[in-house]
Amino acid sequence: MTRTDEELVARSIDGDVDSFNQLVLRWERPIYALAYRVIGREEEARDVVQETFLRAFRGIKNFRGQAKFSSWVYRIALNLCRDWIRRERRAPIQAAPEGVDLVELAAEQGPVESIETLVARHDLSKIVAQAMALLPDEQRTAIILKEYHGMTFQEIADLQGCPLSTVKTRLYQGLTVLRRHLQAQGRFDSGSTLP
Amino acid sequence: MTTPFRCDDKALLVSYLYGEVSDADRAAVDAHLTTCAACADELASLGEVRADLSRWEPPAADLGFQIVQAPPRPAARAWWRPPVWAPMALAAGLLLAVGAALANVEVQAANGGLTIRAGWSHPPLSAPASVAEQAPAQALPVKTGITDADMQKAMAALETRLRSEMATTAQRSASAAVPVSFQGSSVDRGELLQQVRNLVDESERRQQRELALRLAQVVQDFDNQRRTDLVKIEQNFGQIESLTTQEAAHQRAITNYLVRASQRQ
Repeated sequence: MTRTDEELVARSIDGDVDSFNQLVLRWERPIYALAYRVIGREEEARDVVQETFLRAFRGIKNFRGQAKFSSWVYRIALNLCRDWIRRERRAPIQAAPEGVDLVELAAEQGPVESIETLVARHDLSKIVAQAMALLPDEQRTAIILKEYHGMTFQEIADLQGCPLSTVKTRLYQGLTVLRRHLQAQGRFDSGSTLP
Repeated sequence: MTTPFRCDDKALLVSYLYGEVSDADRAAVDAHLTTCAACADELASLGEVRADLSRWEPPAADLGFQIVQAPPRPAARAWWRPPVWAPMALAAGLLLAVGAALANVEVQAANGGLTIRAGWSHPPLSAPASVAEQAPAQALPVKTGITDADMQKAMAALETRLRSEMATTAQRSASAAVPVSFQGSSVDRGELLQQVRNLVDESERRQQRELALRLAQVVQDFDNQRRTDLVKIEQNFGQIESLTTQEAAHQRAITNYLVRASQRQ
């Protein structure tokens, strides 16, 4: 029998770890997809997922049920993504330490999928990812929540803490920037023109 | 009657694009699109953007996170940790010590028996030693409060005993010497009582000073040990943090290098 999120949350609050793990199993993929698309890095996205559910587990007893569990963990994940983006902006790329043979170290790290392989496999994905990276964080997040997580305008407004009209504006502006970038990449040969 | 759609109403255009629009607004946009090629073209291109966005898939990731509750582990045992009952035992010991000091309790185990004697039951210090040895003080139960009446009664008993002893000694001795006489008036007895009280008071003050000094020493030793332990703990934490930071920086450098190298290729 499949239990609802609300039932699993109630059991988790009573200390049932297995029920919480069912919630993790149910929501870890969407949270990972959200984190990956927002911050654009696989490993860091996994860290965000892990930290999200750790925080949720620690705070489950304080979860009052005023929102859906999914909205709650989405909010936690988005806050973590925002923190990560802020940290990245502050921390420049570090140079390799002196006296370290990076080639040897890279060989020790095992096979790593190169960007070329990635591009070959996901050419369009890369173009879209590059276009999405051009957007301001708020526009990118709004588009991700709408396109990939099927949220309503109101749910996005609640998550982003802004008015409904702002969400629509962010979506329109973000989609417009994406359209220009994708057209410049040779997409849309249907003859659409820029306004 | 529906409100006509205006070209600059992008919010409604987005609502229409995502299907979150009322029937009336949908009808208004539909009517507008039949006559405005620019809006129709923009809507179509936004739809194409959405189609491209749907192709963007995150890489497959091995997730499978599980919350695991470890069985409660006993806390790491420090090299020294006072037991739980230590504060109670310390308090009880201190109370006993103070009480014993005030009462000048003496415990003797002799002749298969245990004798507990309070300090006030000792013979007066001014009495001859030989007399005191021959007539040990009577064992009294330990009391927490001894009244003047008790003290006077004890002193009277002691005087009587001493007088009889001295009389016996005088009879045995050919000497005509007269022993120290306790015979006398109530004034002599009062002086003796005052003398004994002074001695007891002085003893109490001395023991209280010693107790206070020892307590201060114990507190100081405990505080010093605590400070030493804290310094050791902080040093260990610092070493761990330093190692973790170095490792993270190292990993970060490798990752950055790999990303840059891949981008160059």
